[in-house]
Amino acid sequence: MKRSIFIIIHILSVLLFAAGLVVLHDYSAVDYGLTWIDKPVFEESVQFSGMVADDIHNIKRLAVLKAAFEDDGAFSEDNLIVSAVTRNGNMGYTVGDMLTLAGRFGYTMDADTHGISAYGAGNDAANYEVRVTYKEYDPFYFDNIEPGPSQGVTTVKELSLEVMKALAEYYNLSSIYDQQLTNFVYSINFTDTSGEELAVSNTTMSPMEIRSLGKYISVNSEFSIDTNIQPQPDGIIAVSNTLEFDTSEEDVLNIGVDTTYIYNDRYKAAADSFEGSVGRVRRWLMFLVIGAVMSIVSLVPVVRGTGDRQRQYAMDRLPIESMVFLFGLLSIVIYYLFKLTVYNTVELVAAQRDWAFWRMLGRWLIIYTFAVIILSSVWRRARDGGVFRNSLAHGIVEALTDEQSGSAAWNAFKSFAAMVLLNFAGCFGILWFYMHRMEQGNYYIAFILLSIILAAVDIYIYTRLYKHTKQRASLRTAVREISEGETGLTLPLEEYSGNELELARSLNSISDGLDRAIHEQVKAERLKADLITNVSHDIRTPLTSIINYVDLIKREDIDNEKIREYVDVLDKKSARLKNLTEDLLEASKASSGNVKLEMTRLDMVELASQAGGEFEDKFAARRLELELNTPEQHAYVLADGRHLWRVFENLYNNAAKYALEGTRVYADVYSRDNNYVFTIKNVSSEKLNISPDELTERFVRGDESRSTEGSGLGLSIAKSLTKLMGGELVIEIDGDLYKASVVLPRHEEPAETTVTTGTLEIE
Amino acid sequence: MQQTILVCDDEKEIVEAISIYLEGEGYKILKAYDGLEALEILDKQRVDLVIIDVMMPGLDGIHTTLKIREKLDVPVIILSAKSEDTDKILGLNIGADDYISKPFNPLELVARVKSQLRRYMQLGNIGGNSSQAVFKCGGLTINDDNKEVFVDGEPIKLTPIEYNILLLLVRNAGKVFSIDEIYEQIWNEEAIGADNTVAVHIRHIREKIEINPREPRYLKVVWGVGYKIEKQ
Repeated sequence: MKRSIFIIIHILSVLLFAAGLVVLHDYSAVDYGLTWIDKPVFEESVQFSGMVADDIHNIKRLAVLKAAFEDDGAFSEDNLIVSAVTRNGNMGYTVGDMLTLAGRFGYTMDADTHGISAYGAGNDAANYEVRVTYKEYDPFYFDNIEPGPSQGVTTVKELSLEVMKALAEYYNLSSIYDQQLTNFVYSINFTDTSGEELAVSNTTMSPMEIRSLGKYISVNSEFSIDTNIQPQPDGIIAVSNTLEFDTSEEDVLNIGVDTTYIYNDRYKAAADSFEGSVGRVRRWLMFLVIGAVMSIVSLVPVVRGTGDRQRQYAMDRLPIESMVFLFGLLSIVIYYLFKLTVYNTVELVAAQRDWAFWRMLGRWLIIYTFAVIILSSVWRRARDGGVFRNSLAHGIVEALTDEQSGSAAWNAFKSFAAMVLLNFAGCFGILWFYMHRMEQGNYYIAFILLSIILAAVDIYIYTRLYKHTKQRASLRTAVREISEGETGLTLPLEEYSGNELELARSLNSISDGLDRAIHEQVKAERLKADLITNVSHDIRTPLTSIINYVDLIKREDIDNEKIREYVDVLDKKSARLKNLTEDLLEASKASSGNVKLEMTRLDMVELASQAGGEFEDKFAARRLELELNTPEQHAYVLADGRHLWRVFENLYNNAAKYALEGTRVYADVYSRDNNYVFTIKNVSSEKLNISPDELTERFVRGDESRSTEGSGLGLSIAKSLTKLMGGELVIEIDGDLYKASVVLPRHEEPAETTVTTGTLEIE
Repeated sequence: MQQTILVCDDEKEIVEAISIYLEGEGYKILKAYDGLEALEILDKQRVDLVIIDVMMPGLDGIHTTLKIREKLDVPVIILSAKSEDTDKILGLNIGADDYISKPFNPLELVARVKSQLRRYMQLGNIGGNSSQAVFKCGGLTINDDNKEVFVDGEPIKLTPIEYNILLLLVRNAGKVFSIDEIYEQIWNEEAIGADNTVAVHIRHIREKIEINPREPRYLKVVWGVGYKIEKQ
């Protein structure tokens, strides 16, 4: 909960930082960055000086275009604009000529916007190749390209378009600088290519008046610059690709900007937005710093708070190298997905110069997210026992330094390397001999010999591998057999070699030890059983005397009422002692020795009837009514009659003893799935506040207070006897309703009696 | 004529108790406390029945019985604290006539003693009667002419149904009859469903003809299959 708050804070501060970056990027001035924000006045900012520089550059271009398209200060179609060598010899084209040609090729220029459009197919058949020798609108073109035969070669179609474009540029620039009202005032003197003086100006103001406008630049014929614009705009007196300044005048250049901005032009707009942007940039700079600090601060709890100890992170289980590699890979995949999808949408929403910035920002955010995830995992690793605990490097180092696995690694590598080396050398030798077999007769034999030797060696190595694999397979079988309880297993040692021999020897001694342990256990069990048997035999002899003499006392005429009572107690207790010794004997026999099973087909319906007959008087004595229900005529199962009788006897006995007097006892035999089920149900005379499991546990009776007969062993012996015969004895208790079920698999076809032995398992 | 019984056990109290019971029945009792003593007495006196313990110092019961059997065919009842089937089988195989495990019911002991003595004394009396209608099975005899049943010569009272069931089983000694088969044979009706009528009759018969109905000598229960009379 707390951590998720930190995560949200962290994400927000990272986004704040990113947003700060975006805003500052938008406001940064080219080459000057954010140096301007401490300047509160627009006229002293880099933006201002940049605007002036742009204007100067444009005016210089305008001068070139004026020289080309104007005659005496006005546009003239008769001006010679291009000279070229054509198939008809040297030709001079006027502006009018070129515009006519352009029209012929389907180009037109809009009269207002000066936009050029091409319509129709044009008459390309009229196109021909020309070699331009001079362009009035680009007089320095030929100075800037390599001389050669293809110099200036173009088609007349392209040439006409180029002229039309230059004309459009002329119109645009002169409309900005000469025709519109502007706060920018200029007056520049040039000398054109033919040496004529050319004054370009949009003002009639004297240099002094220009200076008084506010911001100015003045360059005299000595090219010394006088300006109050800081920083000084670039390229004021640079002359590349433009006309030369006319140094015959006193000033070659006078530029002024009316800082009262009387005209509503781009200078005014820029000045207006400047102050606002300074505030905004300062604010965002603050946000950027806050975002950066907060993201660093919140990164700590985000990383530290990661992962409660109970939770296991799948990524933490990976070795650190794999994790870093995997997440690096994932970030690359996501980056490419980003590139495929949103990368190009940047071009729709942002200016071209910002594309790179936006893309970098996206890339950076992706990388940062993954870095945080990886960092969190690293932190968790560090907290839970070391960053390199489960690293591959650590594993390799451990494997190599650990004696056992180190030697295993070395051994595996040794044989592998030997094999590879041998084969490599062999193949190389064979090739070498093969290549030289023509030159020297002997080499031919060597080639064949070496091939045979190499094949033989490889076959030998294979058979060794095969042998070891086979030995390992037989070891595996042996281990499985031992784990499945096989005892007395001894591997023939002569069939094994090398490591497998060692394994086989160890396995033999394990098997031997196991065998001995089992024998000892069996012996101990038998000893215990014998002890119990002997003890109960020894108890019987004195018990016989006790019972007999108690009986004899009872036969005497005793007047004393008390003595008669005492003798009764002795009689009952000695009878109980007798039962106990018998049960004890039974239990020891059952839990230690093997029980003989004579499995034969018998009928549970018959058995239930027989049991009913046997217990008829006992039930009658307690006024219990036995209801036997058998939907099936017969219920054949495979069982040992005597043992199954023991089970039934026990269940009937319990019913006879513990059922509520005067109630009905229900016995049913029915078929269910693949089984026959015998159930006996009765209402207990006492509360059954005990679980069925406890009821069958050794020496536990339904209720101690109910009766002092029996030792409680009966039910648990019955249960294990049923289990031994492949069935199940289920006791269910529902309130005072007691229900016991004997479930045995059906066995319809007659069967021969089979004798087996089994061991009883008594809980 | 008073019959003489030799009781042999290393526990004096047990010998004493048995003597009291048997003297009460009118038998003359000779006492021995080990096998050698018993053999000595048998050498000197006429004895009609021997009760002998197995585990005794000196000569044990098994060896004593073997010695007795070398000369005498007097009934021998083995008395032992060992109750395993194998012990009983061993005892009966070496020549004992009956086997009673400790601690025993005095009444059962007396009954078994009487039974053995009757057979010993009266053997051949009834056997001489070679009527076709007499069926014998060990100590069990059925005279179908006058519908009489004897166990070791003692007449037994049975109801007509009990008699018919017993006759069916004795005539087919060794064969196992299921409840349904018995029902069909005796009642001459088809058996419908399970019913414990037959089983109750069988138990009653057992109670009448067996000394210990829980360990029957004649009428055996084959659990889950039916009933049979053991061929003897």
